[in-house]
Amino acid sequence: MRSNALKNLLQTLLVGTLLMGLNARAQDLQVSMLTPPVTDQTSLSRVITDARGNVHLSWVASKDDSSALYYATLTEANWSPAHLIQQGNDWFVNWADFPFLAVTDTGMVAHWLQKSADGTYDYDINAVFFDQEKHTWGQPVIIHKDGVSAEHGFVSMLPLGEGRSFMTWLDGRNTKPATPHSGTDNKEHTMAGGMTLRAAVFDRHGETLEEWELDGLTCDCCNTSSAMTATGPVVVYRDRTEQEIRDIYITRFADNQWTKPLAVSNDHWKVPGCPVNGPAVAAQGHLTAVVWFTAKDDQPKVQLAISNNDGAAFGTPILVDQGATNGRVSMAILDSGDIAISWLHTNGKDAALKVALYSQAGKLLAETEVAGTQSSRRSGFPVITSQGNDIYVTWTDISAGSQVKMARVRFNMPPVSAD
Amino acid sequence: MSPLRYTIIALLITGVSLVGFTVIGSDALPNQMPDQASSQVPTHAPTHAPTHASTHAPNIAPNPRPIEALGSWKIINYWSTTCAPCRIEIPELNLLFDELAASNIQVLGVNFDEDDRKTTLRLARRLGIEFPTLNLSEVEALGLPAPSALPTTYIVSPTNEVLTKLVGIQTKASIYTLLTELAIPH
Repeated sequence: MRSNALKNLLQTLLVGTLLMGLNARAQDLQVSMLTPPVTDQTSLSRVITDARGNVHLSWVASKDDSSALYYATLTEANWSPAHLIQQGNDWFVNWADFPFLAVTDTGMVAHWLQKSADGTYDYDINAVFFDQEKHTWGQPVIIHKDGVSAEHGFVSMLPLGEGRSFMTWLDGRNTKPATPHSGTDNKEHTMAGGMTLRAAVFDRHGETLEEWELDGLTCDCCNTSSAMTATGPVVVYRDRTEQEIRDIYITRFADNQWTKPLAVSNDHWKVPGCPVNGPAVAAQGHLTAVVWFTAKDDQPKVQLAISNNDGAAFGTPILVDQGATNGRVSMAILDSGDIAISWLHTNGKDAALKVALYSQAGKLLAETEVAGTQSSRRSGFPVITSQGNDIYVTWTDISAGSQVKMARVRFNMPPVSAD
Repeated sequence: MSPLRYTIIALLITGVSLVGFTVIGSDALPNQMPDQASSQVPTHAPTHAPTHASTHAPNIAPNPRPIEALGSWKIINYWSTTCAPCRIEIPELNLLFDELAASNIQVLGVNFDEDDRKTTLRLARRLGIEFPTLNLSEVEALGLPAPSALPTTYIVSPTNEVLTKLVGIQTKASIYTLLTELAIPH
């Protein structure tokens, strides 16, 4: 009995010490709210860091049926004015499928979704390319060349050298039925083919230089994510098998070709529907990390997997959160090599926007709640980026209307990635 | 000393230490940017809201338009314009809506994307949805758990208890089979 009591005491002290250790590190974590030049009725924000270390925030302002895509740049402590990229009355605006902005070495590229003329729910990916020398945006181009009125979206972008940009997207060109819908025979409503994952490289003017189909059957409505490793780009997405297993897969560009997609983790989440909850990937050198949501057996989880060989193989998944989470993950890697993750931790209709920091070895270094938000889809997908060893976070506050918010999370702690 | 006392003492030591560290950690933030409004790490304590369907009928009094379906069995379908399988099952649900019109079973829709009401109704028309689409207040009053995948269809009792959650494409026949299995008169 006495030995059991001592064991209990030691276990409790051990847990307490670990928690104190985490909390001691968390005391060095600062959350500062920023004031970007956004107005009310804004949402769908995204934040990125360019090669020079400037942080760029993009967002959509909506009024009635009109939508406008803006960006602003944070240089050191100063925000630029809000710059209009494009606006329109025929955009497809969706909380989960929203614009991307990338900054290249010669300009910028941004995309939005525009409804197709013929489809009732079809939309194209339109992009504009900014010419730094002329200081103007070019004419919009449709980045996919299929000419099929179908769904195209869930874009991710990467800047490449010499003004080029890399984009991935979900492409529904094969989903259109061979015969028009009619009657109630379910066979006639079956889609002709599945959603595909495609990628392309564009020059500074928007001309397609190369294009690939990366996967011929993917989940229909989960965002894609891409990152540049030491050996080339990687694309991470939610796969779909004929048996409706929808786990997270990765494909890498190696030896001048795309590798066969491989599971980051064999979660075996069998779900005959779309989770609307894609993964996020980040890379630094050979370090590649992926965070994702899964819910096998109705048990929601956020998991992290780390690779030290450009995403060729990943370690055992690390559990970030479970039970009370609806995912909506984002990821960035700090200069220190530590891995930052954001996700939503839910409590009924309320939610907490959480940020955690992990070492390259997968050790939890710090965790905090950046802001209270809501589980509602209207609160969108928070996005993070890194600048040095800081994290910038953006999300949509829907407590009164809809307004884009942004914060900086600063980790004042010694590097511990060798732990 | 009993095991319970060991544990209580250990927890007290841990708790006091944690409070101490937390107080230290919540000091005012240095190094603020000039254009920033500083905030401490929030101590957000959200109010409780049900994460699963209640077995009791929610208070629907504040709803601007209490739904006719309350008090009846309900087939509640979550749809989205980005969800291709959703569009496939909509004609089947329309048929079900017609055929169950005289029964005590309502077929209802929910826009998963939570667009504003005007947009939601426009999208519902474009998708050919003929059954009623609930507004955000009505959805909140029902206290349904948010689906983790689309399409999702709930079978809900008159007291708003979720009897079954169906994920994936449904057909009229599959739902009739389920209604029979659940002994719901139709």
